[in-house]
Amino acid sequence: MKNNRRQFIKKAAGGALGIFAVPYIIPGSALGKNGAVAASNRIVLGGIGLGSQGTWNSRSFLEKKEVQYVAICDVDSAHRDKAVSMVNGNYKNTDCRSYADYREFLEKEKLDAVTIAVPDHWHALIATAAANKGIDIYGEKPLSRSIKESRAIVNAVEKNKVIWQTGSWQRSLENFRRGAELVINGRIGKITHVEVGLPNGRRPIGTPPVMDVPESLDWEMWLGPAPAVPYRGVSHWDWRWIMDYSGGQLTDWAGHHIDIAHWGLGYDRTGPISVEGEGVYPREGIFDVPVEYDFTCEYATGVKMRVANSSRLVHGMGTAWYGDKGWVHVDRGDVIRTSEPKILEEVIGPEEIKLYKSTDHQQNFLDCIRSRKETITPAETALRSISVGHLGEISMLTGKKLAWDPEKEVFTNNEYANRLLMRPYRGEWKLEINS
Amino acid sequence: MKKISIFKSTVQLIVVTAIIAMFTRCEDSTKLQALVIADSEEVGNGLETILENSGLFSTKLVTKNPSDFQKYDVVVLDVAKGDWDNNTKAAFAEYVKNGGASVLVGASAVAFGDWAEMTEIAGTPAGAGLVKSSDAFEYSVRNLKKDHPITAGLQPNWMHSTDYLSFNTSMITGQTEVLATAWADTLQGGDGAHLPVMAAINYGQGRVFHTTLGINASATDLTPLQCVGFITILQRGAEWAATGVVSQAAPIDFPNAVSTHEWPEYKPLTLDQVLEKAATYEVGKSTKYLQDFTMMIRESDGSPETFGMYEDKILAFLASPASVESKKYMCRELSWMGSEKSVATLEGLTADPELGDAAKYALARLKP
Repeated sequence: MKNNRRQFIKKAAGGALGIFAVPYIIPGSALGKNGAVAASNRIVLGGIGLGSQGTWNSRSFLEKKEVQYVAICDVDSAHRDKAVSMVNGNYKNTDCRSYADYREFLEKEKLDAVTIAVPDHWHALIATAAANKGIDIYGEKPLSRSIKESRAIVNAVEKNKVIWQTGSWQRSLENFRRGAELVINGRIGKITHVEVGLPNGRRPIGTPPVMDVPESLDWEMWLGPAPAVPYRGVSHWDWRWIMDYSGGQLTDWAGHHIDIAHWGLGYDRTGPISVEGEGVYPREGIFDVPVEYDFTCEYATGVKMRVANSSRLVHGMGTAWYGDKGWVHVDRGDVIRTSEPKILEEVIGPEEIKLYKSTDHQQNFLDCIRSRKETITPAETALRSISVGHLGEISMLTGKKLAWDPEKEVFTNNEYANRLLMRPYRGEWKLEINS
Repeated sequence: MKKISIFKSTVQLIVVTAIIAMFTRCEDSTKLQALVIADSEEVGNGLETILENSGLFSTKLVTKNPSDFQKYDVVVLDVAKGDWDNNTKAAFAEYVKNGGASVLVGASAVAFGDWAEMTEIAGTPAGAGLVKSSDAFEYSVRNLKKDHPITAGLQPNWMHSTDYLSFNTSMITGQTEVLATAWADTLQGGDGAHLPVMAAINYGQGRVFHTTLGINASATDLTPLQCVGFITILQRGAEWAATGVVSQAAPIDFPNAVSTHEWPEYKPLTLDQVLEKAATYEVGKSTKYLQDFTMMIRESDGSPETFGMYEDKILAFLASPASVESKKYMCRELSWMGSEKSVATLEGLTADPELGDAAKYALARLKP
C-alpha cells in the first residue's frame, strides 16, 4: 500500500522535472535543501537498526532540513533510547516514536523512506518488507548475506518501484569517481585485470562464555532467521566475524572496493563467469569467517579480478585497475594514484562517458526520492558488487573453480555450489525470492 | 641481474640433482640416506620419524661421535652443545663443501662455539650469537619466498606450535637466502622485528637448509617437532638439500595464519582418526579436527562418488555417540555436499530437541 504523502512527493517531483528538465539530479536548492521546507513537503523518514552505522546514517539525515525523521526501530532498547533522544534532541520535541519489531514499525508508520542498518542476515527480510510497503530505502551494504537474498531484494524493489540507495558511499567521493571515469574512458588502455584489496581478517577472540542476555536486548529477534545459539556477548559489531550473520571483512568491504572496481569497468549490471580461490579459516574460537582470503574472478570480456586481504596485494587496500597502458589505484583518504602522473591530468571530453556524479550520498537518495530517478548505487548494482564477494566465499568453501552464469545466477559446473546461494532460514521466517 | 644469477644457480642445482639422484639410485635402493645427529634419543627419533614418514628417506641416528658423513645424502643436525673433535668438524665441513647436504635445526649453528666453517655453512657471520625468547609461545612465521622449493605453495603466514623464538643475530652472508621470518615483539628492544628463522645456504658445492624452529624440542617436550609446519619444512628442507628440488605437496592441514596444528605421530591423521577426534568437539574447543574433515572434502575431487563416501561417514557419525555440537557441524556439511541418501536420517532428526534445527537447516538445502 502506497501512502498519500509519497504520491504527493512524486507528483511534486514530476512537476519540478518538467520545468527544469534536469537529468538525474534535481538541484537541492530548488527544493530548499538548505532552507526551511514546508512540513507537508518533507520526506518522512524512519530508521531500522540504530547501532553504530545506523546512528551515523541517521545523523546525516537529521541534518537535512527536507527530512522529517519520525520513528526508530531496534531490537535493543538501549539503542532505541539513545536514538529517540538523538532525534528528539535534534527537533527539540518528544515526537520520535520507537518500535522493537520492524513489522509493527512498517505497519503503523506512514513513511516515505527508511534507513536500514542491521546485521547482514536480516537485510533481505526487512528490506523486502519495506519495499513491499512502497517505502523508499537507504540500505546498508552489503546488500544481503547471500546471492538469492540479494535477488529477493532487487525483485521487491523493482516490482514496487521504490527508490533504493546502497550505503556504498565511496561512489559519492571525487577520487573514486575520477579514478573509475579515467578507467572507463580508456585512459589506461584496455583493462586486463583488477586487484581489490580488502582488510585483513579479524583475529580470533576465543570463545566467550554463555552469558545472560542483557535486559535491553531481544536476542531471539536479533537472531531472527539465523540458527539459534546461546548468547555469548557477540551481537553488536562483532557479529561480522561469524558466518551465520556475515562473511567477514570480505563481504563487509565488497560493497565498497569491488563496487568501485565494477564502476570503472562498466560492470554494474553483470558479473563474472568464473571464480576460484582460497580462504584461511580460524580453527579456534567462535569466529569462523576467513581471516585471509584470495580469489580471482574472470569476466566474459577476459578481464580478471583478484580480491584478497590487503597484505597479499602490491597496492594494499583499495581498487587497482591495470590496463595495457598503465594503472590507476584508488582508496580511502582521497587516494588516487596512477602509473604515470600525466594520466591524472587527463580531461574527459564532452563526448566521453561521464559517470553519475554525487557529492553527498544521503542527499542523492533524497533527490532521487523526489525525482524518482535511479540513485548512484541502485539495488541491482549493489547485488552485482556483493555477488562477487559471495561467489568468492562459495569458491573458498567448496574449494573448487566454479563456472557462473551471471544472467541466470547459477553455477553451471557444480550443483553442490548452487546449494550455497541461499542460507536456510530458521523456524517460521520465510523469504519470498520472487515477490 | 639477480634473476639471471638465480636462474643460473637453478640450472646448476638441477644438474647436480640429476647427478646425485643417479648416484643415490646406484648406491642404494630407492631412498635417500639421512644421518640424524641429535642430543637425545627422543628428539632424534622424532626427526627420524618425520623424515621417514615422507617416504623419501631411510635414516640412521647417532647421539655422539658421528662419522662417515660422505655415506649420506643429507646430514640432519639438531644439537644444543657440540663436542666434536677437530677431525670430525673438518670432515663435516669437507663433506658439505664437496656437494654434501645438511639440515641445521634449532641451535645447531651456534652449538659448537667458535667454529669458523660452521658460521659459513649456517650462513651466520662469525661471532654471531643466538638470541632466544625468554618463554616458549606460539608464533607467526612469514614465508618470504613463494618460489623457493622449500616454501612454495605453503601458507604465506602460519602459526608455529609452542616453541622458543630464536634467531641468529644475522642470517645473512653472501650465499644465504632467507626463506622465512618470525615476528618478535620483544626480542629487539621492544620495537618488534621480523627475524630470520629459515634460510637456504650454498656452501661450496653443498646445500644447507637452516632453521631455528624446533629449538625447544627435548626428551620431555616434543611439541615443536609435532608442528605440521615444522614437519613440512624439515621434510622439504632435507629433500631440497639432498636433491635441489622438492617433490612433496603441502599438507591440507598445514597451520594457517591464526591456528597451529600438530601431528602427534608426525604423520597426517587418517580420515577415521580425524572423525574420532572431531566427535569430542564442544563449543570452546578447537574446531581443528572438524575443519580437517571439511578440508578433506574441500580438497577432494568433488565427484558424487567421493562425496558419497564422505556422506556415508557423516551418516555413521550422526548415528554414533559423538557430541551434539560435532553433529550440528556435520549437518552443516551435509547441507551442501549431501544427497538424497541423507534425507531420511535428517528427517528423523527434525524432532530432536538438540539437533532438530541443524537437521532442518540441512534439509532446506537438500530438499528445497
